[in-house]
Amino acid sequence: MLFNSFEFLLFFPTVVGLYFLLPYRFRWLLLLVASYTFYMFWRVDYAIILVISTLIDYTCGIMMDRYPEEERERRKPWLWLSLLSNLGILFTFKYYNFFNGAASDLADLMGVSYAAPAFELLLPMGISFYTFQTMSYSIDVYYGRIKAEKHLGIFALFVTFFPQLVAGPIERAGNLLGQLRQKHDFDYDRVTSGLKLMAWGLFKKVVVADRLAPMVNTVYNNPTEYEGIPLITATVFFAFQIYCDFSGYSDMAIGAARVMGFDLMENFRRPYFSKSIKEFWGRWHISLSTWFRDYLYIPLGGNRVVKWRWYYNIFVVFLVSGFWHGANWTFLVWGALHGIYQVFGEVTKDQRNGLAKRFGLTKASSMESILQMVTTFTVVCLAWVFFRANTIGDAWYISTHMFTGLEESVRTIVFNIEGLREEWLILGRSTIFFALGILAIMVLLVIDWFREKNMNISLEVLPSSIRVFAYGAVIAFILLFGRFDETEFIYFQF
Amino acid sequence: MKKLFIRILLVFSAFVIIYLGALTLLLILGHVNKLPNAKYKVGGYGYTLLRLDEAKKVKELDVLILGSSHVYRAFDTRILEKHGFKSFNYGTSAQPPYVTYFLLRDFLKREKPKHIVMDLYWSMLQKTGVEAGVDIISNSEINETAIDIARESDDIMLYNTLLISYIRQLYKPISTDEQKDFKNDQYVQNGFVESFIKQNADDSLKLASLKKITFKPADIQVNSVKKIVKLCKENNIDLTFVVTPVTREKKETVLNYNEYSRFINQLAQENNIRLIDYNQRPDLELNSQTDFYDASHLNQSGVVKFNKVFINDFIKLYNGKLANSDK
Repeated sequence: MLFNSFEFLLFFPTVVGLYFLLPYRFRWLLLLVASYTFYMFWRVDYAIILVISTLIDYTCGIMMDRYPEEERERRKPWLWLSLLSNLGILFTFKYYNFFNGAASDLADLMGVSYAAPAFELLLPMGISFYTFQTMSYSIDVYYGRIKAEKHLGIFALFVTFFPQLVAGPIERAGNLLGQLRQKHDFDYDRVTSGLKLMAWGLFKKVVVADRLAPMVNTVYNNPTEYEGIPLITATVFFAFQIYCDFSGYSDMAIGAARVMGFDLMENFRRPYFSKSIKEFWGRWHISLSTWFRDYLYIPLGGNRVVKWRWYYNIFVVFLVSGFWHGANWTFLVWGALHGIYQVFGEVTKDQRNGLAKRFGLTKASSMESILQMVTTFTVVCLAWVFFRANTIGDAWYISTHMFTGLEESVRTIVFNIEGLREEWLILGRSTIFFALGILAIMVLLVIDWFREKNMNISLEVLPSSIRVFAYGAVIAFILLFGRFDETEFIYFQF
Repeated sequence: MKKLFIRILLVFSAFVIIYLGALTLLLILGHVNKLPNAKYKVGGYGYTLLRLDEAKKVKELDVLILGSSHVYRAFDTRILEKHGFKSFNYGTSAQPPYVTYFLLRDFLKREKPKHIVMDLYWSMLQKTGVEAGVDIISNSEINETAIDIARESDDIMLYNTLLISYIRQLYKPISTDEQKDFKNDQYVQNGFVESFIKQNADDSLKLASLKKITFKPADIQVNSVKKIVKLCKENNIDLTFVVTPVTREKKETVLNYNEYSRFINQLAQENNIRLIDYNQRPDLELNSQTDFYDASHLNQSGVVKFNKVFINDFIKLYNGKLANSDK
């Protein structure tokens, strides 16, 4: 079931209504049934994977908890069982064909015959999210950071909690498990705050992301037909499409959970206002980046090692992060690029600061900030090319043709108004469609900017009677300008 | 919780007022089609306004022909009439089976033809049907059929078209609307549209570079075909499936034409319906440049050639049926 579907419009109020009407002791059961129903709207048979994953991790947690913290060695086999089964599921469904294809290519190259069959399996929705969530649970139990959950129903709900099941935020047991046991009473302010966040998420998804998607698809599905401005425009559009698609989902997930009294972790904090790649990763997909920090980067040694090893740790984490997103060379290159950006940023930090001082940029701090933001956004966009392109070949073509043919484009824009229209239409849509895309991005940036500066732009400041009409107008705007053909969220594929 | 319900009710009421107000204002100002989620086209290309109006008056029909623009530009009702068959061409722009079903259900309330010929163009079997829905809802009175078409597609654009059409008909009934003229076309009585273009507007280069597609039927359309079959059986109407001819180049855009062919044959066999694919008839010799006005639609030269073959087929089928019924 999608958050932007008609089914969810019926499903969510029903679940929330029943949730507050039911006695406290039955609520976990309601949410568990609702969560499985939510998942099975997509595919019924794949719910079995959720059940298997839940039972294995539940058992492993209980078994690890039987031994005191000092006897970690006796906990270890259960941790391995949990990790291997989760990674095994992930490998089978997500990575087998990639490795199989790579092995086949290698065999061809070496002239050896290789004939392992490919699996024709559909990737279970949200598999990377819930397997990572359950793995973090097992690791935390292993290190004694949390106690194992004894109640199978509550644990099953932790794995499948419907607001964040298919696209995160990837929750930690320490945050969510306890909340699943708490009694949440109806709280008007909390409910309305959750609903408003859901509406904002819906706006980002259906008005911004889904409006930009067709234009991005037109160019990225046939990149060799373009050069220069259309490639740049489509890439910038994709940067906003993926941000609004994913952060829109996170907002709706956090909002839906908040309505019922649960606090999920923040997943995005206006990432395109970042002044460095390091800061970008502190604001983008926070639940995943902190997961990698806690369960991969720190165990690798973090920054408490010699310099070359530290750089290696950073690079490996980003490479794995790229691979987490998809079994494709394009994602690996995307991850590697971010790893290189980070390492390069650390290596050249002193030199860059020196240059800024020399040119007096540190005195004009706002100028320096804008320059840093623009630079960060540019390099993030260059990496997005690899994330969005269908093949490495396409990504290479786009990267090498983005800045060619600009002279001709500019000449057309300056001297030929019909040409300008064509430049717009070249993205496959009408002028008004293109203009709406730009307008949507501007609305988003203005609102994000106000939030970044902690300025109150809430409709709460309006008198109650006007506020009612303002909310009505927002819903009308979403319905008149959004796209509702139930396009899936990009991150569902991960 | 009571406070929340009241609040939601108030916001909802405000939303309804603003939504309807915005649609009405944009409709009056003539800008409603600029909204990305709203389309309203009355009396436009395709002559649906005239056709739907004429369909209400048709009596004692032998053949009803259903499908997309391929159909209303291919089956010349005058030629059929010359051979003694009173026919009505009920094709409309991009009409997929789900729209066909509702149109037919409505039509059968007034008139029962002896035969129905229905086109199974691949593109219509995999479409959502929004374009056809906008066309029908804009050009008809708001009735059960229009509402069902919007509801079945479950697309916000069709709900908006329905609202806009309803608002407009409050102050301007559809019967007062006029059909626009198009210089290269003429609406002929009984639903057929004749094209005056003699040479294909798509040159050989353009025909050679048409976008390739892979046929993949949509469940909603396949289920609708089955509902149409059932409806015909319930009303004791003889049904024939056809695939109206397109240029050879257009046919070749379907990368899995064999699969499509297998699919429609199976659909016909399962339901005991005859099927004639005019893209696979060697005796129908059509020239892509002189018998079509674009990649998909016949011009009058092509129409004459096609109808000659179709009429022969139909007479054979018709006589066969008469012979069977005599026994």
